[in-house]
Amino acid sequence: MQPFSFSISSLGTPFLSDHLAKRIWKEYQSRIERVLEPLPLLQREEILLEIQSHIWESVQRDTASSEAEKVLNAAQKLGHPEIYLHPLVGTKLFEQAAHSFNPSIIAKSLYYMIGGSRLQSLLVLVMSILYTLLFFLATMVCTKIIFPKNVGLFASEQGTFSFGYIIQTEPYSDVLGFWFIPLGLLVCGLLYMLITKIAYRIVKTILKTSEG
Amino acid sequence: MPNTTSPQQSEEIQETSLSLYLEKWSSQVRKGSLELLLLLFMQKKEYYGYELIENVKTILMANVSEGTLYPLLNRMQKDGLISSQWRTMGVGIPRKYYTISPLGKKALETMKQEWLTMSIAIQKLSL
Repeated sequence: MQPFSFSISSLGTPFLSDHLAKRIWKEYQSRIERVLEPLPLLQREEILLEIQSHIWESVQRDTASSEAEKVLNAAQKLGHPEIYLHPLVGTKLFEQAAHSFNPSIIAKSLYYMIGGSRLQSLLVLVMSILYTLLFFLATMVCTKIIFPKNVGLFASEQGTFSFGYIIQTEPYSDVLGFWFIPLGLLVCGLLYMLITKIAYRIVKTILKTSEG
Repeated sequence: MPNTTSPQQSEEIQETSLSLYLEKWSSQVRKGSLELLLLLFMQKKEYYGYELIENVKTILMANVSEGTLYPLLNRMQKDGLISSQWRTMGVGIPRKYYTISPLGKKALETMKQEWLTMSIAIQKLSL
């Protein structure tokens, strides 16, 4: 046995000789690839290689008469990739989202979760609402540039505070001035990180219960 | 509306719901103990995925959906309980070997203790 450094060129169907067996594997492989699509290339290829390795081991031990039957048996025993790979892809995707805070990955992971359980769909709904509110908050903070007198954190003489856009600026005084923009964006950024981290923890727990 | 279910039918319904309940319970117990089982296997030697699954199936005497074990192995690796290494063989596709980590060994001891406590409690209550 020798240590193996992973390379994409290891994939393909070198382990199958029968035409029908190759076709069955190709179809199963394309289903796997569809499920793994949201993941980075290297992760996709590694998971695929491990499944291919599993199929090869299974084919070697199967006593069925044809190679096609052996591949079919192996695929059936593995199950539907759309079901068994769901927790794996979900966890990896949310890991990326929680660590990079990349909005496109977060959007991708939310889209991925729609196809999951009712609990996952509910989480997607709640998170989508929170992110939308956050987006509006950040936009409102930036509008201070256009409406400097009407947008901000305001204090009245009675000691009450108003936040956001106000039409009647009297008798309020602007507490932060233009500091409202960096401070507001900082708060938005922190909330964004907090929501993502909390959501990741919830997703991890949900997906953990669907394993095994 | 009058109840048209005969006592025999009602008994059959009860039997069916009981068997469904037990099936669900059994699946939950298996799910919960699978990590412990995998660590117990790996404490003796390293395994590749297919070999590990075959051993689990043999010891559980049940038909486990083979694909579901890979996400579990992946998470256990992410949690630091096991580590993996790809190795090429003389012929065929490379194998991914899984080994228990020092953290996994520590976790295994606690899990075994927990299992033992539960087992003793069940035995005591069953007497």
